[in-house]
Amino acid sequence: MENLFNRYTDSSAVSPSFPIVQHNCLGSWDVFLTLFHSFTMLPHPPLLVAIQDPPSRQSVLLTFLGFMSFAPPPPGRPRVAIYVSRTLNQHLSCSTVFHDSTEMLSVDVYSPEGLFGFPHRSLRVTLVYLRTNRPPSCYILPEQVISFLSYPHLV
Amino acid sequence: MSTRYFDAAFDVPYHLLNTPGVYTRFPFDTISRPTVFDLAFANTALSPLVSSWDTPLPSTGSDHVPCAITQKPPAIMLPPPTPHWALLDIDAVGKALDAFTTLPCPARPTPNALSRWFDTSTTCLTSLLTSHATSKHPCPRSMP
Repeated sequence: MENLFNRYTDSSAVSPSFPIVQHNCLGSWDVFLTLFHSFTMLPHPPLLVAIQDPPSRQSVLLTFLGFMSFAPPPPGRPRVAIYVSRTLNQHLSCSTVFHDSTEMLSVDVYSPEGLFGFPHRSLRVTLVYLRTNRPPSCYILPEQVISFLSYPHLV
Repeated sequence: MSTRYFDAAFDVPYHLLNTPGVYTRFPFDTISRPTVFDLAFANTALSPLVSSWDTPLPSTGSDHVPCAITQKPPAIMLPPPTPHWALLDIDAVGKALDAFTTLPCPARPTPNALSRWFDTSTTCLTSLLTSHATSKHPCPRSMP
């Protein structure tokens, strides 16, 4: 694989870009379905979908065809989830990064040959749920999220 | 609460991707105003790759709207390396050129056969010259 861009261009199964969709405070199964069905309106389907308040049943995420779902481990129902396109996962290495909080989750996308034609081999996407109704001791500090990384990082 | 995040983003630095003036939350009540709660930041390694932040999808029934962030390869790719003719080893090239012979021309050349012979001979000659020259990579900051 020359890089992610070339592979996607060659396969034409996915976009030459790297679209990510973010939906905060999603909450319900109806909204979840509406969101994922609306992806047909995009020129290229998203490769990562970051969701706050994902619908779950007994702490298990709902699934959608073509995506793999990841969420912080129990206890408690997941407050954040990242859905990774199976197409992306087939081409590149995707791994989850768990933090001390159930309201924060990262996914690392890795390619030994670089991403986007740049020398960077990794891309990290971090999803954080900041709730104002939590006690201050439960806040996720900015230093836990925003830190210097030599490779691309999306928060 | 987001003020501390903005301060941290400013220090590291991370860049806010949201388009100014584009709301991401539309409260159901008629009293509250639309707001921008859904923030996205990119660090300096990613921000040059981000081509758009937008809300292109229709409402999902939630008071928040989906946000789409798209990364694309750089529009300006570096051109391939070129021979550094100034550093050409003239003596070595001269000896190689003395020994160089073109392919025999077709006995009864047709336009196509003559064109192929010319292309092949030119390619051989070019390859000979470039094989004696080092390559130079243009600087990303060079003028086009």
